[in-house]
Amino acid sequence: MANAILVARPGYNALTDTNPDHFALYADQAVDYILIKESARGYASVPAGGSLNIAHGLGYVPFCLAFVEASAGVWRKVFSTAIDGSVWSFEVNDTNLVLKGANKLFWYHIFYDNIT
Amino acid sequence: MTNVIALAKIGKHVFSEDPNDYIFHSSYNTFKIVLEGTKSITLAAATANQTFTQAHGLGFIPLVDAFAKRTAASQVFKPNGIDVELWGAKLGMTGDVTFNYVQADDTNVIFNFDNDNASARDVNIRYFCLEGVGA
Repeated sequence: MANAILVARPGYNALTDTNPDHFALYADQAVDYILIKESARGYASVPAGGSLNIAHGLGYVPFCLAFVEASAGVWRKVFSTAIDGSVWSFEVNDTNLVLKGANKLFWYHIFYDNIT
Repeated sequence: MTNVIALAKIGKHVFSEDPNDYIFHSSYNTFKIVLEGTKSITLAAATANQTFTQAHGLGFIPLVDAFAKRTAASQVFKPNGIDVELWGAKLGMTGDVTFNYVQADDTNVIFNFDNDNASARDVNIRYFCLEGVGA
């Protein structure tokens, strides 16, 4: 085996297992199983105008996740423009995470990981 | 210098200041999957807005994501997505099953589908509960 730093999940043998799903951390000299690295997270209330820019300051397009409080205490994963006709969505560019959905509370994560 | 544990990508320097050069760096949070599971459902024929729930037992509201696959198909599709069965330049894309959304409250993961087919459809779902909202 090449030099490696492996941290297996409970129940798996780091010395013999090769399934990346079975590791909390897997790094050797042959493959990069990258752990996404968080830059920022937080709540954001999108105003009646229906759009809110959140500056991420990274200078490139980062990987992001966004969720909306669809109803009280119920949180839904959001994507780009929704096929079900709902207006909750997000997009990201090299300056901002843009949340869309009038008068809705979002929870977002911005990661350092460059997706372009 | 602050003490860190860092693993650089192949070909990158471990003293790089670019977070994108790392597999792992102890200065940055890595996003956690706290629970994953599967659920098998049967969608009623020609029925929209079918909701299914799965208790998660976490005691908080997790962020969730999910993937679905009809048992009779090989392709996987995500929320806000259609199970594309046929496609072509003139045909466009067609599919009968739509995975409308995945969401969660403090008790359940909630899945919602449409089935436009005249027959019932068996679907397997793999879901992931991530860190909690507001954590």
